[in-house]
Amino acid sequence: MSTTGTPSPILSARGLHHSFGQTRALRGIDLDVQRGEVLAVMGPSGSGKSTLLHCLAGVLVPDGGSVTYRPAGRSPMETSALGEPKRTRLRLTDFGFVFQFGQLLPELTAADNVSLPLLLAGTRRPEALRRSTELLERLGLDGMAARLPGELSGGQAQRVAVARALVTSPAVLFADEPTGSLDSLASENVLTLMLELVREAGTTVVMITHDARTAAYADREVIVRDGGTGAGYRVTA
Amino acid sequence: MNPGLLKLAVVGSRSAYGRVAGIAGGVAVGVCLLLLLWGGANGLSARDDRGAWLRETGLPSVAAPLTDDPAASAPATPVPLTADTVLMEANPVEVFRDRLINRRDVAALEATTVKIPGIGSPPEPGSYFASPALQRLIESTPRDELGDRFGTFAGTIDDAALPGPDSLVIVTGAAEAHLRQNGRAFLVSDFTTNPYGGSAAAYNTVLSIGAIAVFFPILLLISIVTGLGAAQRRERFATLRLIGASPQAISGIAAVETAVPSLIGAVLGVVLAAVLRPAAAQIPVNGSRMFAADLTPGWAVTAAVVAVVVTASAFVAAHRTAHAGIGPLGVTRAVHEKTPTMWRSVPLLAGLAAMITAVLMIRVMAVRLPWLESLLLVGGFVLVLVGIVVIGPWLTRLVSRLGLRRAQSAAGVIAASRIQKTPVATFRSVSGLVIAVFVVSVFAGGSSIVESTQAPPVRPGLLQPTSLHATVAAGHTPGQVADAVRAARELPGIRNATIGYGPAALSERDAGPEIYLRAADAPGLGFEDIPATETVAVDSSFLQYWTTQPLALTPAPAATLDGMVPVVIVLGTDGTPEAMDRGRTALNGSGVTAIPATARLDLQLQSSTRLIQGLAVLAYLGMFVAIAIAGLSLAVATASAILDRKRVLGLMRLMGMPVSVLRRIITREAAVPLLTVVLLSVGLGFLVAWLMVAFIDDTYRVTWPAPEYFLALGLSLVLALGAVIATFSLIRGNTAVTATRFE
Amino acid sequence: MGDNFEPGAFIVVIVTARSRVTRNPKNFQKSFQPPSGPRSGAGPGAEQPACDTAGTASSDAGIQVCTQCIDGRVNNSLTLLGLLSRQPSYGYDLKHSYDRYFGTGKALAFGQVYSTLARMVRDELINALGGETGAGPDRKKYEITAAGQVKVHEWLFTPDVPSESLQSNLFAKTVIALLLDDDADRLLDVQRSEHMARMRELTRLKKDADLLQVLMCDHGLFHIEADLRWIDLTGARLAQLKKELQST
Repeated sequence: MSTTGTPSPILSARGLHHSFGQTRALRGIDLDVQRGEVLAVMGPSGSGKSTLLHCLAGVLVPDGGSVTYRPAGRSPMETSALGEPKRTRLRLTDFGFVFQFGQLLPELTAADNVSLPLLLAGTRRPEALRRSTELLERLGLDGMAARLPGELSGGQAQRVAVARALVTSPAVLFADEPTGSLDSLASENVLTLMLELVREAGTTVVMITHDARTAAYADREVIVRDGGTGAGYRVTA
Repeated sequence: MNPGLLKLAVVGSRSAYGRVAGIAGGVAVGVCLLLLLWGGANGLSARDDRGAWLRETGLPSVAAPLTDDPAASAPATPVPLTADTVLMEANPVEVFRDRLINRRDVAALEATTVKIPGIGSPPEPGSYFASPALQRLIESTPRDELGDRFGTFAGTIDDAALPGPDSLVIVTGAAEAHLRQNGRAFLVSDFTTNPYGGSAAAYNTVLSIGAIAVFFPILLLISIVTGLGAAQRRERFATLRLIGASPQAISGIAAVETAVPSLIGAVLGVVLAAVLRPAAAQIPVNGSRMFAADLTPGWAVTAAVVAVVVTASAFVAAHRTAHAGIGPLGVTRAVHEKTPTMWRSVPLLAGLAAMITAVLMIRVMAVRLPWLESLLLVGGFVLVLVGIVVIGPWLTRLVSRLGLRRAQSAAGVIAASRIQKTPVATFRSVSGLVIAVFVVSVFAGGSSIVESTQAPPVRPGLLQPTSLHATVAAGHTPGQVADAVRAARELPGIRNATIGYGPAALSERDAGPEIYLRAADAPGLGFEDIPATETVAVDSSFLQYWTTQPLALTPAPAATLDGMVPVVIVLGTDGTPEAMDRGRTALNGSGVTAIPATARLDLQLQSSTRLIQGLAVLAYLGMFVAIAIAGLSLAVATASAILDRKRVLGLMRLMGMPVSVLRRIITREAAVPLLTVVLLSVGLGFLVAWLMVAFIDDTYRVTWPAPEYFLALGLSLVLALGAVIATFSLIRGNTAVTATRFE
Repeated sequence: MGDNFEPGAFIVVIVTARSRVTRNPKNFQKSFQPPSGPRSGAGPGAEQPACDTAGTASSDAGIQVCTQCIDGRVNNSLTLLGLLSRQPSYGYDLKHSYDRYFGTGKALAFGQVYSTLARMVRDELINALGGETGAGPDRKKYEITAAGQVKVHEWLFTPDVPSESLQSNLFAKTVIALLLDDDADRLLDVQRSEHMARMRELTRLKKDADLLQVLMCDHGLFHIEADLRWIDLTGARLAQLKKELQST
């Protein structure tokens, strides 16, 4: 079921189908993600939320249906028809990712972790480190740049992950339960800071969460149930 | 311990079966190699024991009464042969093709009581006893090339007196008078059982060092396979801790679950060794294969190897688990490694110091303490081996710290950071290869002594490699010699025959420093610049194999040859082995020769570097084993480096990191520690080789290694590359999106 | 004591409390105006007296909570109307149906049933079927009118304004929808959207608020979240619930 209204959604999925072996994870999802919106994807566990996110982000190629990405100032592309190297490149340059936990390389300092996407994109290391440290400071992690992930609290580590996702100024930020392992206060902290940066930059966010309080930070929510989107969502400003 | 809990721990999942199979397989290969090598080392020593009698040098057969004036010694008188002695002569250059035949000519009284090993009573004059291998050779070769040298076949020498099935040994019967002709025969009443003579201690020392060098990589392999899947196991142990298992119980489970597959693997290894033994016996060591029985290590040793391997692996597993710090909540953060410090250089330096001390003691001190020297040398060698493994992480960390500062790419930053934080784990994956390179370098340095003897140059003024020469024994008329030469010249493949003359036979006291010959014969000896006289002379060092500077002919008065006796016969051949052997057979069978027919290259076959040569063969075997194992260990370690980081690498790929970057990370993580320590290994290898060689004998020199060494070194690097590339296929599958799910 | 809950009650209470505490009451009050979204769900209940907060306030805390609202009251008249829309029934049967589904621990008084029915007859939501006209109310059979049907449907599918007291009414609506074989899933979805909208609103308010205001918003958020969880769980159990209700 798609949202109507805004003329050019940044991401649109049409008729997405995907199966893992015998398990049908997605069965015919239509979804539009509007430019600059923060969208919460909700639903019970096993409903196909993560699969939907992976399809939208070009991590998985759906078995059926298409995903179209419309970057600003470039021609639209059907990401579900691109080859793996192109999708990898697209994920690196246009998308950012935050996961529930364990996404930071434990041997790298916070600043090195954050600068990785920049290095992958070809930025020189001193410049990458400078930008990373700056972003970490904006996320309230002054003086933590040289720490290892093991020396940070859960909330701090998640903020480092947010910094890593945003350091390349992505067009779309995909977050899969970004506060799933945090307590309420740390969640609030991470979400507030993340959304502040995101809204300032006009980044579109697709955020999976099963937590209504987290979803309340979004502009609207879609509910995935048994591989389809629920009927009861609507757009709010 | 609760058996149900144990069952849960051992066969928890399908990946557990893979781990069990990996451990069992690795241990099986390790134990099999251990047993074969153990058998091989024992076999070598058994072989040397059986061949010891061939080293008997007996007592002089002539007695020279002492006089006050050393310059004017009284004429020597023969020591008479008695019933409890035999007169024996060893032919140092009995050569067939390119193989040395161990020939003993024996003369004895009718009533002799001396028993010759493997034969019993000495053979009658004109008959011979030969080893089965030699007898086969005699029967399959035209008699004029080999058989005519020995006479008639009387029987074979028993295996109990033969080093190996391929040994060429012959004992021929001779007349006492004949043996006494050249004064080289000696009197033997009893045969020695000491195979090494005076260098037994050195030999044993070098042999133990060789054994340690080969066993060390095997132990590393066993240690690496028992650490397989450590990360997944830590998680499972954490679950067990959570449901109430004590740390001791966890260690116990770890011990048992490693001991069980180790035991299976060890038993498999014993079976495998038994199956492979006949095949292993076919590998020629020092020119002869082994008797399969020599390779059988015996039940006590087999049981001991199995027990030690199983106990050690179980103990290591328990120890590692106890120190992994597994709490009920699991090891949520990466196991924190202790930062390696400079102290890690201590064992290596101590080892080198011990080895150098040993050599200095031998060279400088007047008093010899062989037991202390051996201890220092072997102990030092073990310390150096251990020291390389110990110092590796520290050096690796130093290099990676430098690298991290300079890293520009994502792969560089990730690999350098990982190495810097976990230098011990990272180095462990290449430790096998580093040790292999060290071992190979030691062996290559050791065997370079052999390789350093160069083939003599072929140039005018030197004895041609295709020619044979034999000295003439005293008491033969020129006519007899001329007959022998004429007969030899008739043979196919013999191009010319020259007789050299002198004032007296070369073994006599009156022999002159020069050999005279007819100028017409000179071109046959390879001379080009021939004086225009009828007779010419050349220095008698012309016949010595160590002469490398061309000699010139000098003119001699025409009548010089009158009144001289033939002292040497030189045959020029077409260089084919058949012609050479025909020439030898003809000259040695003629009865006029003192020192049998010799070619320039013959002496290399019986060089005094026998010991090192034997080791060199072991060395190449060891090299092969060490490199193969090291490659295997690297592949195993690299694979587990990927598997242990499945999730985080999967997330990195999801984030947009191309697979190629992951490959580069894995490659760097193997390459940095390898390249850091490999140069050190090479250098240390040659240093240690030099120390060992200096320990055995100061006349040996270590020179530039043989091409095989560079081949082996290249092979190691190719293998390392192969091992890393082989794990590439794991990367894509194990870091796919599915790897990030179901946490 | 009112029979029906007042959707604005919770917010009103907070506003009362805040007016004493905040430094900038005007701004705050404005921001806390009840949402202008659909509120007609209160329907006839809007005419009822508001939830009485007397005796339940804890003025020391500065925040008063309507305990009765937490108690949760079902909108009785609409629930009865919903039960009636299945088939015409006698008042006596209606009371017992009501007690069976919703009266656990708190049965409905006959007087209350009859006065409600009388009011609904007056509003032309139901008709009294002939019967013995002189007989007492328990001898009368009632039947829902077309206007009554519309009213029930409107009630079912108009989300309630989220508040702590919602659960009981939503429960009643869910049960009625299942009894009527109507789309209970949609009902829950509609309510979920309303809850999410309210939560977004409260989350937005937190952004520039001072700590005390944040605390109060959190209070609201957590309570609404509890409802949402109930909605999710009920949604997951609908099929089973329907089977159970229809088999009795």
